[in-house]
Amino acid sequence: MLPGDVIMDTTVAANFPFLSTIVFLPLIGAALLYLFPSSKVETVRSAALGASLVTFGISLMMLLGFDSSISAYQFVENVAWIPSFGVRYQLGVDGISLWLVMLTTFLMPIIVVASRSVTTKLRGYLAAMLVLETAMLGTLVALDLFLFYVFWELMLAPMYFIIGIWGGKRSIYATLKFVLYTVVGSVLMLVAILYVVWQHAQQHDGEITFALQQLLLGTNLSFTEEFWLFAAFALAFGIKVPIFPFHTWLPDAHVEAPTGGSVVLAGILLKMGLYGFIRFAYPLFPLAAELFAPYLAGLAVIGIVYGSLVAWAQHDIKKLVAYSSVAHLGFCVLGVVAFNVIATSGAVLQMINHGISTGALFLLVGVLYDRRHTREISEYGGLAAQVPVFAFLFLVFTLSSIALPLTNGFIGEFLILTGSFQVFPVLTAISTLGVILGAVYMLTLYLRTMFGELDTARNGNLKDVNRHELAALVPLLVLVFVIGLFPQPFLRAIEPSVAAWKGAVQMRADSLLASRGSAQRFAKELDSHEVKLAALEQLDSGSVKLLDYQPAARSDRQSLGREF
Amino acid sequence: MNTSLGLQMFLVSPLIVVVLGALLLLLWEAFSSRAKATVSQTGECVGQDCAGWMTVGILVVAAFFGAATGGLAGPGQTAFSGFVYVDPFSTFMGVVLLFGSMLAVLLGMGKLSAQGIEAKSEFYALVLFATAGALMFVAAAELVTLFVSLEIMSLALYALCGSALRLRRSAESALKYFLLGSFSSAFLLYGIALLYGVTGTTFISAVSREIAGNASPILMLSLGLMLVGLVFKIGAVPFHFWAPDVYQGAPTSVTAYMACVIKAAAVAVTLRVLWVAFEDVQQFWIGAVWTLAVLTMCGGNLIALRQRSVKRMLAYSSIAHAGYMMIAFLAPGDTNGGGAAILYYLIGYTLMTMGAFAVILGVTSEGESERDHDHISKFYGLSERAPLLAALMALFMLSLAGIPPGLAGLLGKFYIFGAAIRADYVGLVIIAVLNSAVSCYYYLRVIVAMYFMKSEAGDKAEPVEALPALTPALLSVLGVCSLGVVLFGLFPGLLHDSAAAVMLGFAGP
Repeated sequence: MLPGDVIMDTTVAANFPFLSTIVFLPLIGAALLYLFPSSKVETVRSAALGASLVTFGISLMMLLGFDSSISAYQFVENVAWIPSFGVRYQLGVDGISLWLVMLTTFLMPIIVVASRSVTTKLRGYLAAMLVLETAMLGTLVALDLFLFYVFWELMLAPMYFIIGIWGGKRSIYATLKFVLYTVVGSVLMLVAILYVVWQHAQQHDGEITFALQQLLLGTNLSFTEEFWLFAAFALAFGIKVPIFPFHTWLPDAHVEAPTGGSVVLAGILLKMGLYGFIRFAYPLFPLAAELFAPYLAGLAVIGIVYGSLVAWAQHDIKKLVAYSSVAHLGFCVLGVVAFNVIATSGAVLQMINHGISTGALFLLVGVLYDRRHTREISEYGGLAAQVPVFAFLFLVFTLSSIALPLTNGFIGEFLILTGSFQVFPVLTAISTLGVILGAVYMLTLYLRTMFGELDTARNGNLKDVNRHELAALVPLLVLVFVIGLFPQPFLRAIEPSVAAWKGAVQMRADSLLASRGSAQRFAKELDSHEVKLAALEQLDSGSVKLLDYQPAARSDRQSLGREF
Repeated sequence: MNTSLGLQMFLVSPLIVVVLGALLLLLWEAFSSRAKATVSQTGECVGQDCAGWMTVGILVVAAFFGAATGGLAGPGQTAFSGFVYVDPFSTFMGVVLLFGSMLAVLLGMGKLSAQGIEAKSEFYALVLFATAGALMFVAAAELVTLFVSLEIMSLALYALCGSALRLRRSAESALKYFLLGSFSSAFLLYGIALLYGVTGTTFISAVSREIAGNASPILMLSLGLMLVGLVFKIGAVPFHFWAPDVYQGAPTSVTAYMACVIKAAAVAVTLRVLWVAFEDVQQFWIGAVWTLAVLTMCGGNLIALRQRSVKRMLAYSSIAHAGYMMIAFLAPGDTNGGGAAILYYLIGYTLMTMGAFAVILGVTSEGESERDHDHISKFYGLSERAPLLAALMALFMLSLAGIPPGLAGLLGKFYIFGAAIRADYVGLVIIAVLNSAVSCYYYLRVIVAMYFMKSEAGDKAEPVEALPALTPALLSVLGVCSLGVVLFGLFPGLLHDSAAAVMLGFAGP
């Protein structure tokens, strides 16, 4: 199957508008919450739980209907929204966004269950969460640039309120910083989007379209244009990830956010930046991406090492986990910019893993904070004796976070390192330092809080996790091992899409080069393209599985080198 | 043009309705005040609402006539020896102006005494006179008519600014506006005079023909002077100095009226003058408008950052928005050009700004006579005291900042920036979007005050003083504005398509 041809697979599209349902159910749920009086806390919580569970259920049905062997967008919906400007309400999901969608719908009931630590204005909190869910899901499935932008911006307001109203002491500073950082990036992205669209319109008799697929097909850009446009997109996405040196908003936001806010921030919001790189920045501007890739990889590695070192130095548990996010996301960035099927698939999987393990860690920090109202590491010690179940959960998620084999973190990190080593050997070697440092700071944290002598005066009355907290944590615990032991079902859906994505990016690079008239280079690219297509067909037909993927990948490397 | 007097009268019927209505109100006031001595306190209360509702009724009737004239005039028809030009553009703007005036009137209804306005019927009559001036302003096809209508509009406004008779800041506002306003009118008039000297005509279409390929230094001077006179009313930097003081000092109803209706009229007329009269000397004004737009955006936004008074902040924000709109002057074009974008933006901006002023009035109306009546601390903890007002204010602030769910603001920027990028003003758009990012700070600070801060009274353990009940009129303004902001954002085609249709036939008479 030609990757460029997989524009729209209408045969797969079910008649039921799965994606619209999933996207807008939480919003409807949020509105319904206001039917109940805010004083009836439990009713409101149940209603929110119901809405998020129904959403999750429908997304599970979508998952069952998802055909892993197809790399094209599935469940496509396509309706005109602003006809005079060619803006369409176009949704679709592929292997890259599928698990992120699932993670979003999966985390939301957990956040609702964990909302017991929210003591004031619970109804508003849950409504904001549900609106945020709509925004995140919309961002993940939008295939029209303007629709994407609207959902992207819609993520801001609810998060702004969540941090501001239910946050800590410095929450106003943190939430303003979060919004302003994000807005600066995203408004420049809007300019870039409009520029691409007008270039496309100029080249196609004034036919205006914001549909990603159409823009990919025939928008010729000069290299200078591509350079600046990619820079604008990369700034928006880089701030969101966040890539060093744009990360400074993240620790503030994490520390001040309420537990649920931190979970959703680490779990999904940060992934939007990476997702944006994969879905929009790379396919639209492949040659500029090629130019930027080593620098982005360099920044990612700086983020990994720097984030790890700073995490090591923290006294505050939540801050430590927040900085560990900077490091973990550095790995994901590295995987994406390495631009090969293994590393990028690994990065997509690692996004899910990070969502699970870091989300769980934030929940656990929240559990401690609810009881002691402090997050200072020195306040704790020897907790393993006092709260054994908590200590066990903390251990599992710590190990998952430092990517121990059998846990989910291992698979993702391993794939990223394997893949990116082929492209950036030196940088990848340095980044392994981050793996070691990760173990150092997480195990030090565990050592200092869970082992040692129990300070009975301060922690003697600490209660173990209650059933609500357990209900929130156990699903995550299960997933840690499910992905750790059986990664194939997950990767099977991711890989064809990543392979097709890579092919599409390369084809666009070729066509951009061709349009710029560098015939010689084009011929060379075309040559390698044939070989790559053969490899792709093999992948699509399902004859190559991931864990025995190594040899195929090696031949991939030998015959193609770095495609660019 | 050989049109009968009856037809000509019909073409300006909205204007006639408004003026007659204003006169009627004045007469009614004269007669009812004689009877007032005998009626009770409640009777007076009913009377004041009567005048308000009558005004709304007059405006509605005028709007209907406006729509009807649009159908009759077709692509464009002159009246009264070519002094007035009724085309889809002027009809559309007319309806927008009438609608804006209606919102402004509803806004203040029942809250006039709280704002210090004692002469109710005169107030409404003055609003109608100003609206009549604005209607003629956008329909003027001849420069002296244009000037006269501007003066009708402005004189009524000067009086309106000072209508809170006992408040010093209201008087100060009126005086400042009057002095600077007459100065700017003089600029405009001098520009018109010079233009007449160069071209020998004052008809816009004839001017456009005369100056084709006939640029002279005097023409440039006249263009510059006219531009100064017009952008003064828009509130562009560096001709903005009046705006903050006047906006803050005037009664909130009047501020809302000025920020929306007057600005809309001035933007429309500037569009007509630049795109029609000076179409052939584009090269002279493009640079000037570019510079003005940048100064206006940056100036408005940067100074707004420091404001603690919400009305003053909105004044600077309205300056900044004028800057965004001026970008569209540079991007003419078809359906997706700057003209349609500017019309969409004007309506979106009117809805959000009017909504924001409605909330301010709802929050501060009892203390309007105090010096700091609109200080941001008055909004502390509003989400506890009045959740609905706070939520709506948050919506309007987000919309002004261009962040969903305030979609009208976002779509407005989308249309304008899209048109500008299409016309190759990428640098200008980058400056604009960075400004829009800066503006988030001060819009969000209002939300910070309402949602993240405790109300001042709450700290002192005093019972939090309840907000005065909202009048039905104010509620209807809030409802219309919030619905409009969301609806026109979700379905921008509703508005933008008709705006684009209006702009298709945009030309001189």
